[in-house]
Amino acid sequence: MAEPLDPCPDQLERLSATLDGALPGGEARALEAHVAGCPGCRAHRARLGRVVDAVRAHGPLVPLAGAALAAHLAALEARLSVDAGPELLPAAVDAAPPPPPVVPQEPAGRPILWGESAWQLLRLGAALALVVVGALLLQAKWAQLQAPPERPQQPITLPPGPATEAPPPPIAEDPPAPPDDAPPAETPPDVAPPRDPDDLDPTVQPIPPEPPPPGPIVVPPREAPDPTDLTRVREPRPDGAPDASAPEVQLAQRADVERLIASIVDRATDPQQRLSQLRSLGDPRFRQRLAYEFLAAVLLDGALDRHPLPDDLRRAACGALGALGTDAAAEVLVAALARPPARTPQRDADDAALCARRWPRSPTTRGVDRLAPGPCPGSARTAGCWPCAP
Amino acid sequence: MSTGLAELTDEQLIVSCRGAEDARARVLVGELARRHFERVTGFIHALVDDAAVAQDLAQEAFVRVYAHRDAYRDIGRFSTWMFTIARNLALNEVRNRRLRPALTLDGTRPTGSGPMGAVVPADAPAPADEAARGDLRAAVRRAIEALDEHHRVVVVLCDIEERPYAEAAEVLGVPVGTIRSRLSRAREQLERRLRGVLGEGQHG
Repeated sequence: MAEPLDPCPDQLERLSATLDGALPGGEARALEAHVAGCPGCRAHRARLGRVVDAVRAHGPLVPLAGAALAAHLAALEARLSVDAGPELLPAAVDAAPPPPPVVPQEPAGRPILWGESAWQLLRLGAALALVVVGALLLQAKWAQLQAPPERPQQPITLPPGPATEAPPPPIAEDPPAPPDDAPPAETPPDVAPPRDPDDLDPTVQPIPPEPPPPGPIVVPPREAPDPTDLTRVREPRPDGAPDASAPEVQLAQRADVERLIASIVDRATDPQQRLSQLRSLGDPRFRQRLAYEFLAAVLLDGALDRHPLPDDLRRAACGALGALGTDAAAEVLVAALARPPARTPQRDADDAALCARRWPRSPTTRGVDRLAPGPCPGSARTAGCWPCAP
Repeated sequence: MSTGLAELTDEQLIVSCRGAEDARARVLVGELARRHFERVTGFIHALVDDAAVAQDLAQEAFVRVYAHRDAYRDIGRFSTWMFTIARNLALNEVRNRRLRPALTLDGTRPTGSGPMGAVVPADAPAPADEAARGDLRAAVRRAIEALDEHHRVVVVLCDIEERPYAEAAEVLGVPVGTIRSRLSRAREQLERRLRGVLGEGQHG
């Protein structure tokens, strides 16, 4: 292999930043002018782009397959139950009389603020101690009288798998309404009431993880992929598995995907429904989620129809298309998004810095590659951008 | 297609956690953990170099999200808050290890130049060899792991998690310019290590 051309050392940081669109307009224009006449920098930027693509394609650093992830989530559920209060633990439920409370330390410290003499403080402290001890004894006795002789053992049962997603939580501060088809929220009936919030001191380190209580904790396994589900873009990659970048939406399902996307783009569709349909193109809980959020911002805003699309959203949409990884979805979304925006010199300059980065030939765009959808939204004709300069 | 919690954004979930009773908050934080556990683990791993410790700390991070749920301020992204919690946990772990150096089971110090011992064993195969065996994924991971933690964590945030420079700067508590320069140096190192792996015509 021929030795690669060296880039200019003073341009290295800019060459990296331009891959992320993080250069200010003037700096980006200066860099583009330099790169146009410098084959070393041009080649180096292409190499860096391939490195970034490879890193993105092969992250995360600690891939957790289904079973491992489920085990961690189960352990987390157990720890959250521990932190929520000892009354939820079966061992604590077994003990009928509540344990004697810890003597609080605060009363002894407070009188110092009053500026009394040492003798007065001593007498006051002794009196307070007597009062505290008496109160504690009374409280313990009262608690014994109040406690039922035997509490039935209540296993901790978390809601079953889909049910953890089914009940919409009460949204506190004016969020979008939950879907109509969601069942009403309800508290799992077999969970003890929450303890006093004062007991939950956020500064205290959590209790070290105890072995999870055997048996009663039921934690849902991760959803098994539904073969008829169009939403699955790609599986979380187990370590060492071969590259899973091949598009998984079969051609037989393509018409369904097209219908779905046509409904998303259709302005008559309810915005909330469009949002959920858009997310259904990929599993929102995994790595594609941000891509769909960006696309949602683009499509739901109506920006394509009413205003020139903001640059950041257009960039995000381009990146999201590259991350889709499915033939049909990418093709139709390209068609939906490829309407040319209003051009300005500033937009051209910004896009020039981006389009080579955002539209490389890479596994994530392999499906789109064959389709030749037209110009890149960047439209900067940058070498290396396949829609601009195929 | 799933409905319900899966329809809500991270921010809506964590805002709903505030003031929620414990059982409800556990369900909501559980959903956040399902979405982000792998990402948080990878991020912490970039700082502590130990997958098992990273998984433990990721659990701890979500325990803290749960315990401090009332402290979340909905002026930013949940992911920024989550990664900041994870960063603090990871840095505490690194600090503790420096105070009490880890010994291996046979009583010897871990070898290597990094602060936590060897990230990549000396006898590990070179990336080009791994690529020859078709294991490009392992080659890329090893190249990332060979970076020091300052550069590795920026690669994880900006390249793997695709966070903007400003958010990475907020999570790591450094200026944006530092993120830009560290990311550039990290990519230079990755490019050198992967030069034989990612050929001119090879794509991922």
